[in-house]
Amino acid sequence: MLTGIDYFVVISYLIGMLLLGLYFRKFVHSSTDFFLGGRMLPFWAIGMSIVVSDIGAIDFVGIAGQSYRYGISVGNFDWIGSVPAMLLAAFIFIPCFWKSRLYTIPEYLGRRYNDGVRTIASLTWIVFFAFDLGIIFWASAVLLKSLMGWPHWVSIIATATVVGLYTFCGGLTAVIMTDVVQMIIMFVGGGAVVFLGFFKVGGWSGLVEKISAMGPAYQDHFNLILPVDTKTPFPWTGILFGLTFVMANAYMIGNQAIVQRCFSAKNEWHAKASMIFAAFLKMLIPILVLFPGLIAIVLHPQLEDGDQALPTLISTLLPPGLGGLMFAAFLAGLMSSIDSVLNSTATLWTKDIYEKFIRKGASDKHYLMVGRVATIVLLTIGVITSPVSDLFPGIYVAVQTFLSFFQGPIFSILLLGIFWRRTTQWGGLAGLVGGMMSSGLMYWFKESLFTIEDPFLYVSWWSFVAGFSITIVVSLFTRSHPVSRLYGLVYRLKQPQAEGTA
Amino acid sequence: MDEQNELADKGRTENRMGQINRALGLFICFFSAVVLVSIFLTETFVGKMTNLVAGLIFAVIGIIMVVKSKAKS
Amino acid sequence: MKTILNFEWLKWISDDAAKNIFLVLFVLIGILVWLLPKDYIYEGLENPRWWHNLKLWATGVLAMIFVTYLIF
Repeated sequence: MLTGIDYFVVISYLIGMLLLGLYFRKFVHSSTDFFLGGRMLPFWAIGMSIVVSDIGAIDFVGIAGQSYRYGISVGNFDWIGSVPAMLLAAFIFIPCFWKSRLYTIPEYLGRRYNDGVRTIASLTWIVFFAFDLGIIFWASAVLLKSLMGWPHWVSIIATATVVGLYTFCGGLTAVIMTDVVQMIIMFVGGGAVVFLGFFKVGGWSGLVEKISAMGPAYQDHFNLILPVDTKTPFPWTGILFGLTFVMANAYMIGNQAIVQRCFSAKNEWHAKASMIFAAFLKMLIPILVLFPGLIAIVLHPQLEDGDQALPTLISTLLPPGLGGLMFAAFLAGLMSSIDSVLNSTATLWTKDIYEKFIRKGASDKHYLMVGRVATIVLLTIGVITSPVSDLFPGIYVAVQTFLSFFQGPIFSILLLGIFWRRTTQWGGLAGLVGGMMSSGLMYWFKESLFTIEDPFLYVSWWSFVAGFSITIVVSLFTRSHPVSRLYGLVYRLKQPQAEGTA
Repeated sequence: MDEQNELADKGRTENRMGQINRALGLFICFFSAVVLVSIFLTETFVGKMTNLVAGLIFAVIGIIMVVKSKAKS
Repeated sequence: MKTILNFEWLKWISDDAAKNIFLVLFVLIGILVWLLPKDYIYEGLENPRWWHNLKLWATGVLAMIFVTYLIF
C-alpha cells in the first residue's frame, strides 16, 4: 500500500526523532532538567505538547469511527470536555502548582493533606500508567498492522527504541520538543485527509446535504446536544455533569502527564498561557479526527466497522508522500502518548516513592540516574506486557475503567483542597478512599443502577459527588492544618509580608 | 549580584531555546524537502497540489524556527 | 434511585433548552475570567504588552466554542 517515497518519509521521520532526542541530551545536567525541562520552556511548545499527548494513534482511528457511527456529538470530548477545564486549570490550579515548584500532582496532595493521600494517588497513577503502556503498544501495533501490514513486533520494537532513547537522553525537554514536531506533522497529515475529503464530497455544504439525505438514522449526526434518552453513550446530561464538570477537570488538572508539562514553563505567565494556547489547539482537533468519519459516511457508506473509516479514506484519498506522512502522523500520535507516560511515571516513581520512602537525601545526580533507569524499566515492562492485551481482550476496558474509578474522587479533593482552607488531611484521605469505593460499587451494580450500557460519565459524576461530600463531612469533624502550612496551597492565600519588607 | 545571576540565567535560557529551535527547524525543513520531492511521484493534479501545500507549510514553519533561533542565540 | 442516577429527572428539559444551558455556561466562564485581577494575569512578566493579556486569549477561545455550540 505504501510507495517507496512513503517509506522514505516514515524512515526519515523515525531517524529524525531519534537524532533530535540524542541532541537534547546536552541540555540535561540535573534532575530538574530531566523531569521539568530545566523550567525554561515557552508556552507554545508546552501547549502543543499537551494537545499532542492527548491524541494517540488509536484516538485518530477510534474518534473517526465514532463520528461515523454517532456524528459530531463525539466532538464534545475535545470541545466542552476540554476547554472549560483548561481555563480553570490555567487561571486557578496551574499558577498555584507552578509557584509551589512541584514535580508531581501527588506532591501537592501530600503538602495539602498528608503522605497517605500522596502515596495512594501516586501509586494509582503508576499502576495505571504501567498497564496502560503495554496496552497502548499493542493496540497501536494492531492498528499499524491493519493499516500498513507491519508485523506487531516490528512496530513495537521500532517505536520503543526511538521513544526510549530520546526520553532516556533528553528527558522532558526531548518529550516536549519532539511533541512540537509531532503536532505539526499530525496537523498537516490530518489536514490533508480532510482537505481532499471535502474536495471529493463538495465541501461542507455538500457533506451536510448528502448525510442529511441518507435518512432518519443520520438525523442526529450534526447535533452536539443529544437527548437524555439517546441510544448513544453521550446524553447531554452525561456530557455536562460527568464530562464537563468532572472527567475533563480531573484530566486537565489531576493528570500528571498533562500538568507536568506546565511545571516546565519558564515563568508563571508562560505556565498559564500554555494551557490557554492548548485550549485553542484543542478546538481544532475535532476537524482532524472527527471530520474524516463524516466524510467516510458519504464516500464509503457501507463500512461494517466504523473504525475502518479513516484507514479507508487514507488508502483511497492520499497521494504518494502524504500517505507516508499520515503514517508518520500515526507514529507521532503513538510516540507522543508513550513518551508522556514514560516521563511522567519516572517522575512519580522517583519523586513520590523512591525519594520519599527508599532513599532520602541522595545527590541530584543519583535521582537523575534513578529517573533514567525507571524510564528504561518501564519501557521494558510495557514491551514485554504488550501481548497480554491480545490474551485478555477485556484488559483495555478494565484499565480505562480503573482510571474512571479514580477521576471523580481525585478531582473532588483537588477542588476542595485549593478552594476551601477548612478541608482537613483526614477529610481528603476519607474523600479519596470513599470516592474510589463508591465508583467500585457503582460499577459492580451497574446493571441494576444505570440504564445506559457504558455509564462511565455518570459514574464519574456520582463518585465525584461522593468524594466531595465525604471530604466535607469528615473535614467538619476533624482539625485542619494551621494556616501557616497552607500558604501557596490554597487559592489567593498568601503569606503576609513581614513589617518593613512591604 | 542577584540581578547579574538572573540576567545570566535568562541568557542561558534564550541560548538553549535558540539551539533547540534551530534543531527542530532544520528537521522540519528536511521533512518539507521530502514532501516536495514527492510531488514528482504523484499522478493526479489534486494530489500534486496537496503535496505542494503540505511541503510549503512545513518549509515556512521550519524557516521561521531557524530564523527565530538565530535571533535568540 | 435509578431515576436520580440516570438523570431521568431532567428529561423534561428540551434539547434547545439544554443547548442554552451550555451557552450560558460559556458566558459565565467568560465573566469569571474577566473578574480576575489584572496583575494576577500578568504575573511573571517584566514588561507586559496588551497581547500578554490572557483574558483576551481566553475570550477568543470561549468565543470559538460558543459559536460552535450555537451552530450545532
